[in-house]
Amino acid sequence: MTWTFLSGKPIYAQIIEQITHSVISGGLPAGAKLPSVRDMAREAGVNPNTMQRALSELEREGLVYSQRTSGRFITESEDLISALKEKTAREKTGSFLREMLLLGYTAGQAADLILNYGKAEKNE
Amino acid sequence: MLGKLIKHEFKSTKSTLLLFAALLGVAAVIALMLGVNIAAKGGDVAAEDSGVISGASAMIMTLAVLAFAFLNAFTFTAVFIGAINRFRTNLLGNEGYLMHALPVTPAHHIAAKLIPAIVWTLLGIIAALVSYAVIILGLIPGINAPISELWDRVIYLFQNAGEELVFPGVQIALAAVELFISAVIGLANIYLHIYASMAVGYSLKNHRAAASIGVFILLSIASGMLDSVIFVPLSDALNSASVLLNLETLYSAVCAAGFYIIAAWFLDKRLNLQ
Amino acid sequence: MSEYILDCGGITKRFDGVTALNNVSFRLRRGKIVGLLGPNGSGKTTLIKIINKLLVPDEGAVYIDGIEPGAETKSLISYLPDREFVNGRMSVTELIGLFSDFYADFRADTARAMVGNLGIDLKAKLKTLSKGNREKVQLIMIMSRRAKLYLLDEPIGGVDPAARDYIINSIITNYSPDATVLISTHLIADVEKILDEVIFIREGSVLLHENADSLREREGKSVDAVFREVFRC
Repeated sequence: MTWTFLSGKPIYAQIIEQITHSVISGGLPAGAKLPSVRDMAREAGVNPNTMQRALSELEREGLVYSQRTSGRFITESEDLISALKEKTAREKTGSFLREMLLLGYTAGQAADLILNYGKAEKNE
Repeated sequence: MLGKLIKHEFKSTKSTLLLFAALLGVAAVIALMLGVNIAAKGGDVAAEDSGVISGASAMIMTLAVLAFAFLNAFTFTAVFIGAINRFRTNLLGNEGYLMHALPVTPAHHIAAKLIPAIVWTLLGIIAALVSYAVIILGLIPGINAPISELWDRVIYLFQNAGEELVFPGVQIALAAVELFISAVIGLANIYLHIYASMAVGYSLKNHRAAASIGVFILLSIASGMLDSVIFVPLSDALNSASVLLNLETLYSAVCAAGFYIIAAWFLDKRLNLQ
Repeated sequence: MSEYILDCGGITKRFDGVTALNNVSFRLRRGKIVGLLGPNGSGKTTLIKIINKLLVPDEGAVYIDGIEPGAETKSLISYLPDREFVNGRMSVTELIGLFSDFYADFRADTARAMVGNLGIDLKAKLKTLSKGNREKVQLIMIMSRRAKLYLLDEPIGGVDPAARDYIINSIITNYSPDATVLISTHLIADVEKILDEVIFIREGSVLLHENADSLREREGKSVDAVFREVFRC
């Protein structure tokens, strides 16, 4: 996976976000084996302790689990992943609607825009 | 650790020193040719050959003597300056960042520079002495004698040195050992004097080379005062020739030790790599 | 074994009336990558030299794993100075030999492999290498040790971006929970992602010493951005 880090937010939090994003978008499939902490840190260009902290947090959330001898894996629970997808989708919708509201659109008008979006693109 | 440092020191300096050894080798060959030539003339350097050949051979002889003397002088100066410069660049220059990061005390660093310097200088001195001896022996009349007589000649030389020899063999051996020890201590003295001067001078931020020279002079004065205050009165009180020699050596050793302590302290507590 | 791999207390150093370090105190635990961040002339190099006994402080004390600086601590420390320290007439092999002789924790095979990966001939004399390669060789020597404390003085200054990545990569790869790396630099943006903790130093005084992510959270900015604010001219 490719890593992009923005300034201002703690690195460990951004790692958590990006791994989560990878999982729900299918980049990291359920049950996939993760590389070692050191390898992941090297790929991401971050401190191994920071990577460790993020992974521990993800373990706490259940998105990642570790088996002592075999290493770390993405959860096999499709339910958990779907739940996360939904949560993320709802958040994205929420921020989209907030933006549209600022532009003066109602929720209904925003919905129309969405439905007609594909058609408008075809006509251009 | 000291052993490793010395080994590393010999390794690092060997190419330069092989060059000097080659130069001394050339000088020795010239000396040999001169010696043989002189011996062939029966010890009489001014012996006349006939006409033109005589002029040419005299000129060649002169050139050979000059070349020999020059090579010796040059090599000595070069070895001496080389040893001092080695101390400076390796311990006080950029290489110091590597050397002083090694898990080794400054005292060991100094010893590792001093010992090879003394060894190389001594070897050079011995090589030069042998070369000179070869020439000088040629000047003794009737040198075209077999080797056993040659050895007699050497004894003859020693006997004419003014000493009353009761047991020639033992006394010559003792003299040789004493000479060797005072040579080593004398060389240690000279080198440590310079090392200490540089260790102090280079603890400053600016004008380090000039300061080193200043410190050198100061240390010379200090050791001179020590000599006149302690050792000269002492040697006057004890008026025996061989004790005199030992007293001089002792004085030299004390000064060398003093310089060593100064150099080590400054490298330990006042190192100032730029 | 001390709790802290590095303990600096009240370090003060003056040169010709200028105070280069003023009462500098901080402690580092094992297994951390710490950034010593400050502009040029803030005292970073002076502090690092004091830790490795290339300088002696006028006041204060330093302890490396509980031991005062000396020959013993030098075997625990792997130090990369901010300048070339090798004799050009040495070959890489000879340099590796030197490090092997004096440092029990030096891994010669690792060093040889890493130099080989750069396409550098082990028998080549160092003066025949490009400046960039010479610097990489120096870095490889330092990182091929299994030391307890690494002191890297401006490792990425004046180095191209690819080399910078190489260096940062080496630091991450080399990471060990037993060892601590102290990186001094004024180029924050390139290294901040690998730092556990940051120490800001200005004109010889420590301004802050904090966990990097905590600082980001607190200020809502990157460490680089905070640095620019704090050290605004």
